[in-house]
Amino acid sequence: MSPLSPDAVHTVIDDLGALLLFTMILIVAAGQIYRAIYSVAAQSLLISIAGAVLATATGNPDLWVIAGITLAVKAILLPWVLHRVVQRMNVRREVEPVIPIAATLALAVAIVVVSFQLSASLGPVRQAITGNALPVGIALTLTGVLVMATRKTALTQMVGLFASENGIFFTAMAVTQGMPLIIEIGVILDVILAALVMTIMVLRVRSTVDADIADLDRLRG
Amino acid sequence: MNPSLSLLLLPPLIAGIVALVVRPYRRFVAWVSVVCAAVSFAASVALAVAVVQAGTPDDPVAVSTLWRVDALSALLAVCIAFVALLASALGPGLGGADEEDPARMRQFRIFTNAFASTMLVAVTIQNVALMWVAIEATTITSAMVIPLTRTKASVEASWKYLLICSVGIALAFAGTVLAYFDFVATAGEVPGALNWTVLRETARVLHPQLLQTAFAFVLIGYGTKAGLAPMHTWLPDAHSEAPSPVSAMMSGVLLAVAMYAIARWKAVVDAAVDPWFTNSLLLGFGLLSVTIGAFSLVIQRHYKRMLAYSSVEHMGLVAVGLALGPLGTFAALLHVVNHAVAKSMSFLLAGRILHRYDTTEIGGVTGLLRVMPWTGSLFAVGILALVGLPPFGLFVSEFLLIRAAIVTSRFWVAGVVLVLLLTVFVSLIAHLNRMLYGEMPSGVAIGETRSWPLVALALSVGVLIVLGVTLPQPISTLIAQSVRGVIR
Repeated sequence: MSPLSPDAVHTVIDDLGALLLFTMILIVAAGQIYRAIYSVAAQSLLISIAGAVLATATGNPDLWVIAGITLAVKAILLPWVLHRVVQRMNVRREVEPVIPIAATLALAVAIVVVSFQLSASLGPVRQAITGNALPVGIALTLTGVLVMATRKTALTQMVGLFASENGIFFTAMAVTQGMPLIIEIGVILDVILAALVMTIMVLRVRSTVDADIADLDRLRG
Repeated sequence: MNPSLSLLLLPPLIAGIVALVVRPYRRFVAWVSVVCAAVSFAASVALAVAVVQAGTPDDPVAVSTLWRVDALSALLAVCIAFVALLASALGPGLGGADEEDPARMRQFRIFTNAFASTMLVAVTIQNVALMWVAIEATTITSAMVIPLTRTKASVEASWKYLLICSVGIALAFAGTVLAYFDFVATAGEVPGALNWTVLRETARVLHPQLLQTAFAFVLIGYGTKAGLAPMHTWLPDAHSEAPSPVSAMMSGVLLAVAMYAIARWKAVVDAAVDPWFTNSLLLGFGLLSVTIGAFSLVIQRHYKRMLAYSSVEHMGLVAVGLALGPLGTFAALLHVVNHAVAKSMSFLLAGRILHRYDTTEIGGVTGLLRVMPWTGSLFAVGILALVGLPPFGLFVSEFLLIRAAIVTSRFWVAGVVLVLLLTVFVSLIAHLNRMLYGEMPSGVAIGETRSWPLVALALSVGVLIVLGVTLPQPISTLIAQSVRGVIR
């Protein structure tokens, strides 16, 4: 017996989806690296809330585990590491877009529209997913890729990657049945490892390469 | 777990752990790696033999809830274990004049062993989502070892590789999730829902347009890892900046592992949709890759980048082959084997050349045949094999590929591929000529050092010739069984 009615879950997931899109816009619009980091932390927090809501609704204990890991790793640990890297390394705080931020914003809006269009055409899948989680997830993933492609600095590209993974996570969580736990854990492990590798690399550029830290900003994806 | 399978998967893991635990680095760590790689290779051969003896594609060996080794898995496992053994035996840390910093040798041993294990897991696991996890892990383990020399270029190459492949792999996951959604929505939650055998059995009742979308995601995602154009942009940088044994593993077998994932998904989607769909997508990406690879080779000025672009070209050929029915798939899989042997050998020789000449430019390497007569001749043999000259194996697989195009009456494919292969031939031979002959640059030492690696690489030449001249019965049986495993 679930304490939440399906309709209520539906509404909550849709509201969280709207907030997620809002944080994505904040990431795209961020001119300072700190803002991008805080926005992606907020986004991960929203995703762990969504996990908790779905766990309550479905009574699936796996979802609690996933929500907890997301909170610990993606909402707290990774943003903290990024924050420390920015503080310690005295990198330039500007985001340095390749194309103007306004243009990226316009592209992001286009992505959101296309995502809703695309998921409308995927009729049968929509049955299996709560609310608008599918189009929101696709939009987050693609916008994350957009951020990675249009930012020069290594750290902002990492933020884009995390946002992109958040999108996939959100959709995977909202399947009515949930993905098998072992797979979600595998995915999270990979995210942690990737973040670890990237951080090591960002630090290594500084410690072992006879290059100015300004060169870090020139690392292109 | 089947004993052969344990002996395949565990040794590289153990060697990696030994390298991790022993600190500071000692020489026996490298010997442990070599021995473990040899055990792993022997186990892969044993699995392949067991599969051939079992006979039918639907009767795999070593099946459990998690693992499944059929002909295709065994074929890939043999290639991976072979190249890993070669890279381990010829890698740094075994002694000799070119000893590097111990910390780097430790790092090399940890991550190449981890890299080999992740690749072996990817081809033997039967859950498509865990296969995805393993392939993502190959990116991480290999990215850690690319900047071994810690130059700015290698860190950049590694960064670019991580970032582009993470995006690619995220798309592949989206495709996997999409197929799983449809499965759960249609068939309900079934144990082993993500096993590709189960997916393939139920594919008929799934929604075709959905599986098509999923395949598009999967193809672009794993295609990024396989170096298919236009997602190949990371490949020339990563493969040319990595230490040569790592380049050999990445170019020789990692690309093939990504193609393996695509082949598995193609089998699932083809069970639900007319194969015309997957075939046209593969044909498109494949021909584009061959084209871009061929024309990049014409203007190439660095020999390691030249080998990297040659990999783009060859993966393109494999993709084209997979799209050309049973005969084409046979050619593609044979090509995977040939390419693994020829390309790993060429990269390892390129490492020796780089060590001696200390330049990556083709223009800087002259008089190679006089400076290093054996390395030079073997490198020449490697390039001649890669351009598809007889008596080497790649001639046979490329010939079969063209024949498959003609048999399926896609004459234009045969024509385009032939013209591009000719372009590759002319440009690679021209580059090779400039390296082999001419005046020796002053200050370069003459003569070979550490000649036993050359014996190992000469064995690779032997394998290529055997594959080209006779194509032994057990190998052709194994490949034929693999084909029946993916095409029904």
